[in-house]
Amino acid sequence: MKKVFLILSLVTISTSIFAQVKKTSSATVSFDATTPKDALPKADNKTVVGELNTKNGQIGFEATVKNFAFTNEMIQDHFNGEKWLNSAKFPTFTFVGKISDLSKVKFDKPGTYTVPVNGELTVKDVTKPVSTTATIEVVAGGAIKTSASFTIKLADYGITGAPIDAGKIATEPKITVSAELK
Amino acid sequence: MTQTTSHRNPVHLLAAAALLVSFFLPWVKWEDSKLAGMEFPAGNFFSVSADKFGLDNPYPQFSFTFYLFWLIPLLTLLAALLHIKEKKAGTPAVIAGMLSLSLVTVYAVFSNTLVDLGVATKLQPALYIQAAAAILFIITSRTVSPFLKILFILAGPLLTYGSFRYISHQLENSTFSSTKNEKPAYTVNAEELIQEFISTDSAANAKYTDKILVVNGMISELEAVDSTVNVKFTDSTTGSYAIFDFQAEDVAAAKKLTAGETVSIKASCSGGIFSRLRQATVISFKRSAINK
Repeated sequence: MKKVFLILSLVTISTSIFAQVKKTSSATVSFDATTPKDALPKADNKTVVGELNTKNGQIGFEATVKNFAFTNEMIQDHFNGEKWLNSAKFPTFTFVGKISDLSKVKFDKPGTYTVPVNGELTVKDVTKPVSTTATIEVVAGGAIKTSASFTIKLADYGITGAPIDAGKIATEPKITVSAELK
Repeated sequence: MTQTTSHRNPVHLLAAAALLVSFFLPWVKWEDSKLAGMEFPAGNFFSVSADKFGLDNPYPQFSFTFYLFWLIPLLTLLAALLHIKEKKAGTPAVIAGMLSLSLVTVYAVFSNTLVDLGVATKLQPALYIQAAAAILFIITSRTVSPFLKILFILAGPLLTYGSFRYISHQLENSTFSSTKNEKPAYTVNAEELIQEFISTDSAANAKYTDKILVVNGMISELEAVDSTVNVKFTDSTTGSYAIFDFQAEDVAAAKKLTAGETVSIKASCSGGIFSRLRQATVISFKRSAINK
């Protein structure tokens, strides 16, 4: 009986360690639209939902737009305003993608790997392709740390306006993603 | 037989008429909203900008001062009547002119601010008529020296523009105050909050989003994030959860929390979404503080 219990425990533990889909509720996405004229449009969202399927390389992230935290109240209001991200109508950013060359990473072997990622980013119901390179660190114990950064064109998502034209907001803000998935 | 010379200046009276009429005509067009000069003292100026473009009066406690601009038509009428009766009318004319030029400046610079928000704005002809009439009204007023007339013409716009720049600078450089000092709109139990978002997400979002909440509950999980930690209250049946990201001054205290501990957190609610990845409701909070 004890042997059976021990075997079952080992199976459970190893299953969780090598679980196919790794998840987190606390991925961080940083949005940086600062320019030499304005250092304010910069925010982090530390409650992003993330998933990584280690079997087929599928990746997904979901961010609540209103949880991007700016230091300045005015910029926070502008970011969520109807003329900008319009978070009342479009409350979520989503990324759905895939590690396009899964052979470049071994999820069962601790180490750091660089992989190409292709996917689609949806902002304000507009979906555009995104390609980037991600760093994946497989940690002993089953956790996976990942990070990537890329830029987007605001105009591609219908986000335009005088502050962008005036150089106060970057036309191609930098998006940085980091996550520890378990 | 002595002859009396009339001191009535038709140009002064014309300026008065233009000032009076244009005050009630549209001065600006913000998208499809037209606002006359009278909308400012009538209280509609900021209500339109807030409702339609999200730009509210940053100092609502001083809204009572807006009534002052009703003096524009009142003093203009008074000055015109006194002028017709050939009485001393310089003071009311100058005050009406100065207030008018100040208000014109407010409309112009605020419209420029809306442009930064992506709002299509256009200054209307009546605004220019009001400005020109105000200048003419001051110039043609009697009992005031020419030097003082120039001073009064410039003082209103300069003071108004200077105040606007100062307020803008204050707003651009202000940071959120500590959540600890914020008065909560609601105090809720975490489980009940999650159930409320699950059952009526639209109503719950309308009720709680952008509000400060105190949420009480038993911690389900702590997730490390860079150098900080997030706290989760999870509904075990549905997997739906509320998650809290802490303000810098509360990170050290948050790191000492443990799963299973009962805690009270004060935070700004960013609303709830249905996560397609999790197939569950996720309610996010930022600038969280341990509530004591």
